[in-house]
Amino acid sequence: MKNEKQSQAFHDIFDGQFVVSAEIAGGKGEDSFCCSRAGNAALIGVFDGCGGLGARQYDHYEKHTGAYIASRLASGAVYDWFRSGIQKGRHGDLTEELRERTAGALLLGEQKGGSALKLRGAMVRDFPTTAAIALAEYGNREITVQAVWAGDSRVYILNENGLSPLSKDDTHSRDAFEDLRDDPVQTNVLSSDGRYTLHTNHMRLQGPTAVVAATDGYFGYWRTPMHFEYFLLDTLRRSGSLSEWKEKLHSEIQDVTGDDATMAVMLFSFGTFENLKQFYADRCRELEQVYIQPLTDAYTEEKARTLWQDYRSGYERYLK
Amino acid sequence: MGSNYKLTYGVDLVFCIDVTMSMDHILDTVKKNALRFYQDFQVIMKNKHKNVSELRIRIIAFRDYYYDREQAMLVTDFFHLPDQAADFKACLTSIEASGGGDDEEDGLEALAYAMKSKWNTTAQKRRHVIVVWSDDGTHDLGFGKSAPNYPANMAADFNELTRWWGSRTSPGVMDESAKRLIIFAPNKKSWNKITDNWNNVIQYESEAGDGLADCDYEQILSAIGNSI
Repeated sequence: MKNEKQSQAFHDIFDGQFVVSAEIAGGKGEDSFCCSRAGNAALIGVFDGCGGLGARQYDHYEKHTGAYIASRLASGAVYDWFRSGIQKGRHGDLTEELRERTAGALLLGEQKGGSALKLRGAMVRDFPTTAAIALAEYGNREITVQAVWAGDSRVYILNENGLSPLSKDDTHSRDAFEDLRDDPVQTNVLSSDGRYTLHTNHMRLQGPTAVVAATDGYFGYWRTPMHFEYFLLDTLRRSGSLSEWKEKLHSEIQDVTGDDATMAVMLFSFGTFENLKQFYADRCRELEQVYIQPLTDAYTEEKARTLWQDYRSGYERYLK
Repeated sequence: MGSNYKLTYGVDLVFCIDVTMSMDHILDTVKKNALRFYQDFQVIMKNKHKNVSELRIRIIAFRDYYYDREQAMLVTDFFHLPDQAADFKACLTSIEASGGGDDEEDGLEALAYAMKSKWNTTAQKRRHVIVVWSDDGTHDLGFGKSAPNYPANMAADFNELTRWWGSRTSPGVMDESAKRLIIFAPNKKSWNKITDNWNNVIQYESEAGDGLADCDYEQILSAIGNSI
């Protein structure tokens, strides 16, 4: 009886989840994702196979690259982990469980694919991929979101105060604005050698919230971080339904990005699509007036940097 | 708003080519590979929707200071491509193998010169790529110090050169995000030490890339073109 009550409560708060994904080269996309809901929990995850580190091609995998295979192995392992926890519950250390699952899957992938040792060096890894996972769980009448990640894919919270990452990139990054210019090297990604760390951060949701997991194809090709948030809200504002919003998120990113792009979204406490639009309408207008329009009228790097500094404290509010 | 914005890449390539006598039988292949390299790199960047706004190439042809004196290190400025493509090709094809003395060469000095190139710092995103072709190992730095033209400001030893290359925690003379080093050389001193210890390096173990299979070549290009 207690479980039924809790499930009902989660159902009331959880509005749904979706994924949008665009490939640069059809059939060769190195991103992958997982998305599931069961009982009092929901999961989204995005994975960006690292094409630079994992450019090796494997005969066993029809000449696909290690990066292509790695993102799929990792997303499958995380999905299996989530589904297997439905019956028995999750009691262990989340990051350790996920590390064990993903490392096992990637190692198996390497054993089947064989290692190609003609190339050596720090820029060559077997089966490398990023991971950005968000697990939402209901308990004690509230939703807690736990982000787990490695590499430069991100988990964001989008609420009444705007967009803010819950994850911190594994790079020697100065900040999100400079990242858009520097193309920083990743310092930690999943790979079949098992030499990686999964980080975690969590928060309790208060009020209507969208939880977003995205690969850098979605957020890494804008002039400023403010433009990415504006992209999310402006496409929403111009949409008449959830499916139309998804279509715009999918089609319009392709005019911007230089990479495979994948984004998964979970929505909480909006109830209806109209409520969702209404909830973010003021924030969208504010973004447009304060940041986007001034930069559209006369863009300079100096002005962009100044506006970023104004936006930054809100943007970084959940970073530890 | 902002959706018509496309990032641009500035790509600098420095080709360090061993031009001692032992390279004679494969130097034509290396030249062809060098010409093909920048063209194929442009294609792979285009295929990945990465817009290369500036492409420059510089050649460093190296031998031995000790044996070859004035002919030990032949360096060019950057050629701007495609405008100076003909000049670049002419320069590359004019290189001939000669000299070298013993087996090992002054590849580390060539690498030092390459690191201190005047890299592009203005493009929004940058790739600073050094490519080395050699059929043998390297002397220790300073082996040819007795030559009158040996550079006074050269790295004193391998440790100093390692500091010039830098690391994530202690950046050197190059842009940590942009730098890449591709080595087509055998598993000999000091190429193996570099591959094992420096970041952002790929080595294809062979004599100057001899026997390089197409699939390996594509992997190398992808590794440079993509973020890491």
